[in-house]
Amino acid sequence: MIEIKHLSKTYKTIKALQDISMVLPKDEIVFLVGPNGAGKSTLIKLLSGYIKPTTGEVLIEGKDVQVDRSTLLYMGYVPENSPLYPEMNVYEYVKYVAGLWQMNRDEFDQRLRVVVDKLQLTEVLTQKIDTLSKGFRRRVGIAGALIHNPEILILDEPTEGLDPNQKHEIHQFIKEYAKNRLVIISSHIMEEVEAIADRVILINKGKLVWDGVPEELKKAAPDNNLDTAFRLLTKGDMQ
Amino acid sequence: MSVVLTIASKEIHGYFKSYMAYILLGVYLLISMGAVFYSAYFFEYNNRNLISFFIYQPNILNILLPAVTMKVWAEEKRYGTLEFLLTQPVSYKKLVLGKFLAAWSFSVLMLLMTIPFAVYSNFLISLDLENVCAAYVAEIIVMGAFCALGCLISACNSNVIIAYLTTVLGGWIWQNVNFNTILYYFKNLFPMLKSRLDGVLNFSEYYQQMIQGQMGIETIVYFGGIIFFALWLNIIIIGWRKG
Repeated sequence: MIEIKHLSKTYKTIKALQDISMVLPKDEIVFLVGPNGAGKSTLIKLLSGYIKPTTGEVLIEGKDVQVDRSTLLYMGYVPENSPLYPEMNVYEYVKYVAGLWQMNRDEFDQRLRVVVDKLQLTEVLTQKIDTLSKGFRRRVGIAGALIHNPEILILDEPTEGLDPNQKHEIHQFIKEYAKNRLVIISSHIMEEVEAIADRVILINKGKLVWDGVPEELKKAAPDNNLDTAFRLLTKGDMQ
Repeated sequence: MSVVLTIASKEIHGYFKSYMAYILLGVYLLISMGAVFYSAYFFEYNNRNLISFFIYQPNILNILLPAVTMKVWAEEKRYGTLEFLLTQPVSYKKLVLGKFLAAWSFSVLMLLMTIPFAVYSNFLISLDLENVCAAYVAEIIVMGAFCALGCLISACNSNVIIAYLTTVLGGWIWQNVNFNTILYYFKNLFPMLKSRLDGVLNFSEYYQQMIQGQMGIETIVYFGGIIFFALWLNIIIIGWRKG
């Protein structure tokens, strides 16, 4: 479980996030949505412990992610654009991540089989990362994040730039993985929200403007459409 | 320790996956041997300590080792993998140590490649083997200091070219600036330490002693201190730069 308490982040004079509080329990697919520059990636980076908040705290199982690095043990995180080491092949990359997690050989072999199978990476396992398509690279990034079977999976725009088939495959995978776990996804694609979200958190100009289930968000629009609701809420002319 | 070795091993594999490692090894041998036989007049001096070899090493290392260390952190930033790396459950200390060990191991490999030359020289001029071995050990320590400084400078940069150039500049300053002028005021403040402070920070003072096989505790403290301080600063900078 993640607990966010009065979280704010300011970059010099820009207030990227302002006083965000929420609780994210297990067994949920949570979508952080908002227009470009709304503060989604900042919130994701704060959740992952990569950046420090200006005020407030992120607690994972009651421990502050900035203070206690053991909280990272719960987490698998794929940053935006899924950064990878281009000189490595897929197997080497996943093995390297497993090494960072100090997994033993048996544990690694077992998890590798599961992850490679679920993400359909078998055919590219020995292929160099810089020769992979965007879709495969995303999956390799996710494979690295999943190798230790984390309870919390955080994905920053995981389907950005993918074709509909690739998106569908990633959605299917996330749905399956989210059972008994917490998956947090940053996105601005409302189709995705409709397809797999259990909960939507809408951020605009660094502020929390909506937190609820997608069906409720739909009702906020006169035409019962998520895109319209998104537009109305983020343009600030909601009645 | 296993995490440190995982990181070091990944880095070393990375060096050899590009042509860079092979080019560096080749260029190092070429320049070192060129310096020995053409600039340092190998056959004209008493070279029982291989002085003609060791005398130019700091200059050679100052040009080549930054090419090893420039990528250490700067490339992580360029690829965006720093964010991935710093969100793994690995302490910054282990990350810094792993990357430093990789660069240092590679530089030691460079030096080991000159052993056939030392063996050949021994046939020609009967080397003072004790001194030469001590000088090789000293060279490894000096390489550690160069690598630690290079890693530190790489951590301050996102651009590998700038990391390279600033490391070369930093290394040049370290080797050539007379730090006695900086210590001048300290000497006036503590006159009783005046003689002890002379040359206490100067690279050349220690290096000259080392290559002649006179590696005292002060020399080890000097280079060991630089390694420790640079790695410590590196850890601070990594934590600070993540935001």
